[in-house]
Amino acid sequence: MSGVSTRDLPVPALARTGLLSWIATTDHKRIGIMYMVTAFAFFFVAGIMAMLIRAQLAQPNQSIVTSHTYSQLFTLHGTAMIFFFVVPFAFGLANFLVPLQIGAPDMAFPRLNAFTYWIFLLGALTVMSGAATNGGAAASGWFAYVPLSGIKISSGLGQDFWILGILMASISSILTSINLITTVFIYRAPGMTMWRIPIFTWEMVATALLVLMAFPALTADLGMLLIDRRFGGHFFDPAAGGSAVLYQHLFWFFGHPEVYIMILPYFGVVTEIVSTFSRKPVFGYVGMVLAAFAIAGLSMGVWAHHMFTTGAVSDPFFSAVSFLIAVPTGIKFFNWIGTMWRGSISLTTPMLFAVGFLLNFLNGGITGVMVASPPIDFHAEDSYFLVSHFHYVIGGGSLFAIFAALFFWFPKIFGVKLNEYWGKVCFAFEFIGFNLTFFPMYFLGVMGMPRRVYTYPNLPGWGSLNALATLGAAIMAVGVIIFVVNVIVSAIRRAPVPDDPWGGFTLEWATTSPPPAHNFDRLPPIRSERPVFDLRQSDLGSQRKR
Amino acid sequence: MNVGLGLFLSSASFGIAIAIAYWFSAHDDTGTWLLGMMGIALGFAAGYMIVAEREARLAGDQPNGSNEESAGERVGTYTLRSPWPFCAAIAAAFVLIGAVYNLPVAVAAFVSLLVTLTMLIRESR
Repeated sequence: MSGVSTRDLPVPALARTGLLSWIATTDHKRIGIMYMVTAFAFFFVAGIMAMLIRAQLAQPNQSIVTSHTYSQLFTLHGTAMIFFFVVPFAFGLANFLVPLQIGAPDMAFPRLNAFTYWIFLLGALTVMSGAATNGGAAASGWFAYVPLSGIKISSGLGQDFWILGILMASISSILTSINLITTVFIYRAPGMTMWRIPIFTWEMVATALLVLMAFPALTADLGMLLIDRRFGGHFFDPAAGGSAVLYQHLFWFFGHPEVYIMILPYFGVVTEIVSTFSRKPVFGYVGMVLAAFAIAGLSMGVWAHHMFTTGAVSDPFFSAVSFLIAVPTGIKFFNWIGTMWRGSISLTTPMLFAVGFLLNFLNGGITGVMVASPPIDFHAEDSYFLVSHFHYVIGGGSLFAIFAALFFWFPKIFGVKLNEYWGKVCFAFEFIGFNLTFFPMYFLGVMGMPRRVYTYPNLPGWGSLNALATLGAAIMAVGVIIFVVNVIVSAIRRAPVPDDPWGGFTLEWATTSPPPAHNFDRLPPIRSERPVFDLRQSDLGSQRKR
Repeated sequence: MNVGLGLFLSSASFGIAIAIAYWFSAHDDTGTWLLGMMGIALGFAAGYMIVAEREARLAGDQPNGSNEESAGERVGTYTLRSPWPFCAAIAAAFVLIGAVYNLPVAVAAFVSLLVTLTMLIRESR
């Protein structure tokens, strides 16, 4: 891109090659890759914890792990999946893609970008290092409710490390969001007006805006918790005039938007993939964008539906706003189906994962509408029904979209295409395994099995449904192993891949795979939201004239 | 009106409107403050954009803009590598951890953080 100078600054010579070059990098593409690789590493760690949880629950009255170890496992599993996998992976993908999609040479603040990655990594390692302390890791859940996370019940260093680590991750998310919004608003290429930017980039703007509104509440909440624990504060101590419900208010003011922070980027991923493999433009582009912002806005007003059972919140208000979110989400579903309708659909691996996302997310979304009703929520609260609902949204939704994104953009990121046959086998294992794991949990929840218990009595149906769930988890694990082998084998074979193997529409497909340091040698004219499609058509037109 | 500004203005209006609706529905101070502050914060961002936009004329906002038109325009200086973000992150982490467990460590880390930030600012000029 013209008008940009790339200047190498006087850093030690060692930092120009090898590991040190990665440590010192400020290139958005490398930082994006580092985010995604780190996020996937934490996915493996959290996945192993999930397998231990499922092994413990495979049969009634088992004692493979103790109750305290089990509490640490589900705390670290939830924390790692939410804070260190799903959200950072989205930021990694955005780091790599957003500047490319808007025709920018880098993020607006490259050094800040590098800082946010390192502080995120240090935060994640701080949380995990709690497991090596006396008393073990935090065991009060990913939500760290007081008094469970208070000094009286959780006196060990593990809980402190959890708070400090999440504070670091929060700072990282807030700064990354500022960087993303600035990049999109200021650094668009000539002709890339806001109403031409790809849907993925729009979804990242909505996500970044949500992070800026939601994460400060978490940062304040954890800061107050730390003061209560280590400096004699009483913010959340009812005996000294504090309020434990205040902790829940602040936590869920962050916590529910966090669910949408975890899903909005992946709405963008699925939109790009569905459009590309249906060979059609996105149906209802403006509607898609407005729906994303409607979801983001409404999600800020639903936090206390997690607190219906406290009896301290306005049930009608939070129930009504929770129901309302289904409307813009429904618009998105309508538009995805509209995009596929009469399209020339090719069922590649990314498209299969995108369709899997749609089916699973629909399942989780419908049960979400059910528990938005307080009478149902009172029965479902703290049961396996909620475990299933949440995992259908984030596991069946975000995780499937992550796999879709990996198969779709892997050629662009690494210049290597993953094997399609083994990709489809991986999808089959993931889809069957996922539904086998989590669908039985709806029934377990209705039967009354509570969540976060390390064992359960041998009641009718509980053992067999839990065994089925464990079998499903094992099938999912095999799917993940197939994916890893696919990555390794594809990387070794390095079959030649064109710059645009899928016939993509957006600007990242106009550059080489992988892109050069400055992103583009030349930019095509940008006159619509599908500049690469326009370029392809104009090339075809020129060939016909000749 | 610029799309970005419109986005922040409409989000700020939504924040204020939902805070008022929440107050009349729930009569709860905590939630009203949370929603109201959200609206005010977004309003500040919108206000800044109004001020900043008076001088801004972005190439990306020109529907028929071409690369040739903005050729030679300096949009910034980019570096592909810098050791200071990594150093700043380590210092910031030790400021947080030290503040809880060991104040001298926090003070030393804070000084290191200031040094790395100074280096970052010098480098970016």
